[in-house]
Amino acid sequence: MLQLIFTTAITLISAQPWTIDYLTPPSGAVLEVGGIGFMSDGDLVASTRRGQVWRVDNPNAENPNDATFTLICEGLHEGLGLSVIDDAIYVMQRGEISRLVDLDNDEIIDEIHTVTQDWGMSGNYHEFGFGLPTDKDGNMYFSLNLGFWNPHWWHGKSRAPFRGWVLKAAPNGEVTPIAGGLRSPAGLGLMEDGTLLVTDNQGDWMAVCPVYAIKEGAFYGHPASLRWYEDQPNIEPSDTQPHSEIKREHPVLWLPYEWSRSTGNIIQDKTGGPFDGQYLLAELTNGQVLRADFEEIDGVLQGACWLAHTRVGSAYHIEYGPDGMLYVGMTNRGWGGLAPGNGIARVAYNGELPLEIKRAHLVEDGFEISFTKPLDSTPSVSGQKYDYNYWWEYGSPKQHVEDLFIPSVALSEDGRSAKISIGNLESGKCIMLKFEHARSKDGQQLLHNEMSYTINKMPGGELVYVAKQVTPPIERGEEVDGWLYLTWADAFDMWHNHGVELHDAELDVATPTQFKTSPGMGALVAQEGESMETMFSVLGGEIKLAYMLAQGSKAEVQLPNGLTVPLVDHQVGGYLGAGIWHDLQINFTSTPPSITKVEINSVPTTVLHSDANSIPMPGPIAIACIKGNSAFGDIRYRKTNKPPLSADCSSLSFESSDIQQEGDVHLTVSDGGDFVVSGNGVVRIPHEELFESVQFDAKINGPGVGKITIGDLDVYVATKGDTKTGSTTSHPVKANLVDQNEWCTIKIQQELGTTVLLNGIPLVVGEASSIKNGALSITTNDAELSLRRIIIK
Amino acid sequence: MKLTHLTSLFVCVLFGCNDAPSPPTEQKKHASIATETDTETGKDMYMLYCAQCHGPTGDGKGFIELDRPARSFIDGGFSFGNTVHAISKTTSSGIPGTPMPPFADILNAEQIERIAKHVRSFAPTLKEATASETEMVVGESPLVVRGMIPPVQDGEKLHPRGLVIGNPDGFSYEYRADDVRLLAIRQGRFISREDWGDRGGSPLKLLGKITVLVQGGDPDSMFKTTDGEHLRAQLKATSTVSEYGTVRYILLNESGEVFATISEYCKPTTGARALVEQQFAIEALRPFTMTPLRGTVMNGDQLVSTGISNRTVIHATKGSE
Repeated sequence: MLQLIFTTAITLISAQPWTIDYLTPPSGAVLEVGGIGFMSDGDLVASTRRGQVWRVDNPNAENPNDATFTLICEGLHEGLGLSVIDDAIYVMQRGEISRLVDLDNDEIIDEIHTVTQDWGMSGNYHEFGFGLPTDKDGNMYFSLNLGFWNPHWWHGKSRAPFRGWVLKAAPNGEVTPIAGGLRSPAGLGLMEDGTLLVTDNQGDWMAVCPVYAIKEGAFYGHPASLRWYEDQPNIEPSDTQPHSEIKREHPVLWLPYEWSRSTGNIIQDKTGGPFDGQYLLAELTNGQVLRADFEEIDGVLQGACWLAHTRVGSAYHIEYGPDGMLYVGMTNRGWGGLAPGNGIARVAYNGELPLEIKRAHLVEDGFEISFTKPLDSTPSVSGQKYDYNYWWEYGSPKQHVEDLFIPSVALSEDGRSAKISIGNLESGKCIMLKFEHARSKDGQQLLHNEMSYTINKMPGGELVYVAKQVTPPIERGEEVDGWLYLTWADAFDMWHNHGVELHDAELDVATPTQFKTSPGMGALVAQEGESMETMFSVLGGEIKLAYMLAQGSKAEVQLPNGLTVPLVDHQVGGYLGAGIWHDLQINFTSTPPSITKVEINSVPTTVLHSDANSIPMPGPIAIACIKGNSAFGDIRYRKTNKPPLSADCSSLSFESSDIQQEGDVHLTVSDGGDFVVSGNGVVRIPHEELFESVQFDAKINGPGVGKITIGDLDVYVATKGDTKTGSTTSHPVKANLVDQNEWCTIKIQQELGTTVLLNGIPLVVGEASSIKNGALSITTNDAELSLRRIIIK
Repeated sequence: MKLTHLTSLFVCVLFGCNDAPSPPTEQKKHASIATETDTETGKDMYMLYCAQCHGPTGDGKGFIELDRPARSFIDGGFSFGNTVHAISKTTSSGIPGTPMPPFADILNAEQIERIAKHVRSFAPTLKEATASETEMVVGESPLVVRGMIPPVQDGEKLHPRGLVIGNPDGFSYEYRADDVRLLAIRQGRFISREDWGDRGGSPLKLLGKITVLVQGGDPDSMFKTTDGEHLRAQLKATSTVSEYGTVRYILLNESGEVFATISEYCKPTTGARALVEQQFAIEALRPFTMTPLRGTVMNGDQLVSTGISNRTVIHATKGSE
């Protein structure tokens, strides 16, 4: 049953001057497209993350119902790249580049020939392999993701050769590493002159998503893969300290975060259309396609980008067909992105020339801008410049944001170009220009009125990094960040739930006022009238969460101070649209009752306040769906104001020599009284002090459990099992509130009952077990438990 | 008549037809039964011939107590494949080394197929694999799956590069692919593609029961130069064109010199003992030696001289060791 032939159905979204439609794969098949190529007969061939290869006959049929899908190969190990060379299909797999061979000309693959496996894999889930553009000599280019490891799960590490590099495979299978310093280089492409372009994804050491023009032997900024350079020591570098002794290359483009959060591949437009010779980029999270154009300034490549096609779907891999149609391969499983989250979209140009900014050329005092057709009058132009931090944190907000000083805009006589004079341009900045009142002589509005440009170098100026090396922020884990991950592990453990359900969800493209759900744990999905509220009460603090709305929907975050933050499906701040996940941050206080910050996708947003409570009272945080359908995820809270320690607090005193150890346990005690206990066993700490409250910082590493016993009370620190951090024996916590290797503060108070607070939040109230006799022991079971700053009162 | 036949079958099952490749003569006397059951349904015939061992519901709990439990079809475990064709084949020829007798001489092909269809209907997993399901099912042709191989047993390593060959006869062969080595041979269901969930990148789940664990699941290389230097196997291709999935590789020394191209496939034998033969078709450019692993036997000399030759390494399955 390898061969499945089905017809397709059409879903049409009208967009001018491009038309977007979707090929519908066979019933039951899910095409998580990773690579697209074309056979000489025009058939489209697509590889998928499910290790399948599909051949689509008649892909450019006027009516997509006339296209047919055939499953020609399965059982591959992910297919995040595909190339067709002289009608031979090559697939980039996680561990192998393969040539697929059809021995009997029935189109079904009979043999899979290994071209090369010559790179390392540690077994980490994040070690994706991407490809597979091919040059005129048949060399195939591919890139290797870093693995993701703790201290935070997204810390990129190169634990097998050439993770974090881009490489070349010759037709005979010989592999040549080209350059490293990459993080999650999910897209590759070739320029006309053979220059290799690689896109990367925002994260540690990557401020936002960059596009690199690769130079052999160069280093692109993420230090994890430095170990594979010949002149570098083969050691795992610091997670937090940059390597300043090796030169970091500049990207040719930094893509604005609001346009691209997960960039796919890049291709050159050779269609002979209005943007012939320029480039298109796939963007997964926001589900769109961007356009880019490059120029050399004093020998330094840099350029501009624009939105090209919005609301397409989770675009991961794009290719032009021989027919000039743009085919968009989509996937978003586990990565999150605009629906549709799989399948193949087609973007067809209908020949109606749009009014667009065609090119931008940087000059000493501004930009020379050309348009696709003449303007009828001079547009008004405003803009900002900004830069980023180069640091280990996950991405960088815009830094040093300043308005541009634009004294004049001069439209050419023919209306086809304009000189934008700018007084304060400088090297090492990104620019965002916005054009208003731009209309063509034939009455069209500017289709996309914003333009971003990356200035590595001003003409005649210095070459300056846009992402500037800054003092690294405090190493994660060394301070108590205080965040509680309220929906990790058991998503409802910390909540009173009123109808919200846990599913995977994406926008239903056919009925965009609702979601299409499937089994999974990707989203807390709420319908009108459904809500959930925390089991604990707070006064003020910070909330972070992700949210997605269906078309026309409204949700709210209801705060204990009586104020609410409405989340609506219309343009406000950084809101991008229905079906797209957005990051939301809210800071709030109760005295006075106010909302001090609301940011959507890091863009400050003003919200209309409802009535606040006049008397500050602790209360729960609630999220609610007011209208339509909404989805939430990764909800975090932290208390911002830590009460000072009272004068009658003191550090626990004990004699190190009195400490007793039982079992296979290893103990280190610092001069400051910090403990690190690992293995399987118990450490008893004799002391003579009695206390009514005790507070300490704790951190767990490893798959097992740590337990602190104080008097009769057991408090657990763990990220796995049934007693996660903050649990007591009679009050287990099933949510994973604190990550591995992250410090948290645990406070235990003995009043009428016993109260346990985690990062200032009372998780256990009225526990019967008492801490009064003060006996202290630390137990570890297949884990390393660190304790410090033990304060008693 | 039926009662007589049943009695003879019990005798066969309980007393030693597992050692005999040809069916007992007592069964041949009853070949006429085939014509009498021509019009019976697969279910009727299953109840007559199979249910006493495999149970009326296919759960493996028949009323005859065997020294090795009968297969539960409800769990989807089939010794030699799970297609109607494969089940028919097993029903027809029996399984040497087990109490399962051959039925070829007492039932005709059409009757056996009817029984096979009924047997197949017991198993909920026995439907055509669709892309939305993570379980991959071997059909009429072999299926090769590349993916991460979990540790074969406690204490062994995860292999980020692995491949599993599933043959229609119900056996699957688990290889580490970075230095092509057979790790284990399984029987029963094939694999679940766990990496189709979440972000991917998780190991495959191998669903069959291990019948051969090659050298504890961490086998040495079998190939050395005549000077004793280890030769590395480098994967060149996998093929599904014949009845058995084939893996092809070259042998290299540390200098990268190619010593041989080897095509390898495995198949269960049909002798008195349950064995699996690992067959090597060798095209040697330089002489090298081939050493059987612990627990295996090799036919022919250890020295492989230049030219084209064949070797077979025989693995005894756990049940017959």
